[in-house]
Amino acid sequence: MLSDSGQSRYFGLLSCLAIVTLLFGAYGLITDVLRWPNALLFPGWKKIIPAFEVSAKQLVDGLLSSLSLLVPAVALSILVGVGAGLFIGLRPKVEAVLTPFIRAVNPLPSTMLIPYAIAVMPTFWSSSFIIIFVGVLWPVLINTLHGVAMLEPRWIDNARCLNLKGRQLVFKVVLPGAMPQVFAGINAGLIRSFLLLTVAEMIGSKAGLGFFVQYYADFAKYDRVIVGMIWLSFVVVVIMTMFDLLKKRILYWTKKR
Amino acid sequence: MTLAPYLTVEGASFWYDNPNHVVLKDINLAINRGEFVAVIGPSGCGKSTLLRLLAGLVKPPVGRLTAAGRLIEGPGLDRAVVFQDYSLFPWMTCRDNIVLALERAGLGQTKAERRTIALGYLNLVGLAQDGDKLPGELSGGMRQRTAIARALAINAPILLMDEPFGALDEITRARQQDLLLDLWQGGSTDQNAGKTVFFVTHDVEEAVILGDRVIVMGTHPGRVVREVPVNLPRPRSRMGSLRSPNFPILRDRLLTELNLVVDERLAPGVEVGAAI
Repeated sequence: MLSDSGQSRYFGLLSCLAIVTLLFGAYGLITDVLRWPNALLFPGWKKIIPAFEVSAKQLVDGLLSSLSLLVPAVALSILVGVGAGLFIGLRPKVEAVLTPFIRAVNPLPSTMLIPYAIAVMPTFWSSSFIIIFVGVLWPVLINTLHGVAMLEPRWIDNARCLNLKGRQLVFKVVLPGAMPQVFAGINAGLIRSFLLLTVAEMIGSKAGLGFFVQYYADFAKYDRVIVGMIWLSFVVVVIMTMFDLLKKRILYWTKKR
Repeated sequence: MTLAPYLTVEGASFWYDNPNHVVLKDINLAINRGEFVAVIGPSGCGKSTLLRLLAGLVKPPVGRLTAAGRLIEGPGLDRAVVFQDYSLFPWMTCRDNIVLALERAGLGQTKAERRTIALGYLNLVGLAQDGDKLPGELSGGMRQRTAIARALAINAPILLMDEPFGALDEITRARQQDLLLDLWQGGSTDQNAGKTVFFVTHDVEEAVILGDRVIVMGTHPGRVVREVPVNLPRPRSRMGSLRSPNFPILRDRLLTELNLVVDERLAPGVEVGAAI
């Protein structure tokens, strides 16, 4: 069992750092010391660290550019996905009609939309926005629907005994009760969003972290490519950790049942 | 002053989808205003379903139910329900659970008043310090006391309780029984006294300690087998009742009734009604 105590979190962080050090050390050993793999494709730390220093400003600018696309797109997906999920989930007849369509569309990778998004939307930003929005929307929508369907009958009984209706029913009972599933959907959506963001930027952008990696790959500057990948991973870890903290706070009650 | 029954079940039968699987068959009950009725029966006799009918959570395909002279057509805040272990929303603090119920009861209080009233009722059940805790942070007994506080706070004339102490350990259960007796008999405030209570339990002693009348139900299909008046004086306390010479007689009588119900199920064909 994972424990929540401060001591174990401290231990977790230390182990995590130890593993990272070990991996970086191993990479340094085979590149810098043993010079075993191709030095162009796998540059050692001696090349990567200076590349980091000269890229710092580009990395920060790229991050801001990526976030200015990611944040609004994901936010809108969550808003629409949760809203539609609650609306449809609370109307069994509507849900029965829509379920086959939702099931049909869900597994299609939204990267398949890229040619259309580029053709239809006027700018890179708007076409990427659509692709990320659609990609995140489905897991959020489907998990919200699932959360509403899985609401414990006793909560519904309880709400009915209190004559809860309309907005109060939605915001006091249905949404909080479905929240664990909603968070699972957002979690899946976030992971998809990073993938879609970098793909979109690698294809069509002049800025952003995906563009940074693609740009230097085109010039075979793999030290910069690796810098971009490490930076991107770091950003993803930070965002997901923040998300976990938020989840822990909002879903505090699920631990105390 | 009329003495028309306050809570009635008239010829109600119940089944879910298949009329051949009758859950409750031809139930007739008349409960007076201010009466405390305990319902016992083996599992599967439909006692909780009967409570759900009274709560308006399900509708009987046959028969009618009334509360305070009005037909029961759905849930209503004139009937406060206390379930076995889930009367509270786990994502709200105990106080917010009560405040929400007060809001719905539409008693015309301001937000601040509701919070004060909620705290007052938590205080009444000995939980003045725990209003800001989540239900999951309390023990089972404390949760049930919060649920009772909520039921009393909305000032419903009718209390429907579905094995509210069924999941508690023996000592906690005994304390809750005394608390409920005390509140219902008006030990603390008169406003809480004199409610009409429909109390489902599987514990014969609990039924005798609390009830003015005990309704014994049988299975296959669920039906009322016997109604036994509890001739113990009011106001009661748990210990006082246990020490009364009538207590073992009542308990044994009810246990005999229950055994007959169970025996009948084990050996079909024996007519229980005829045997008594």
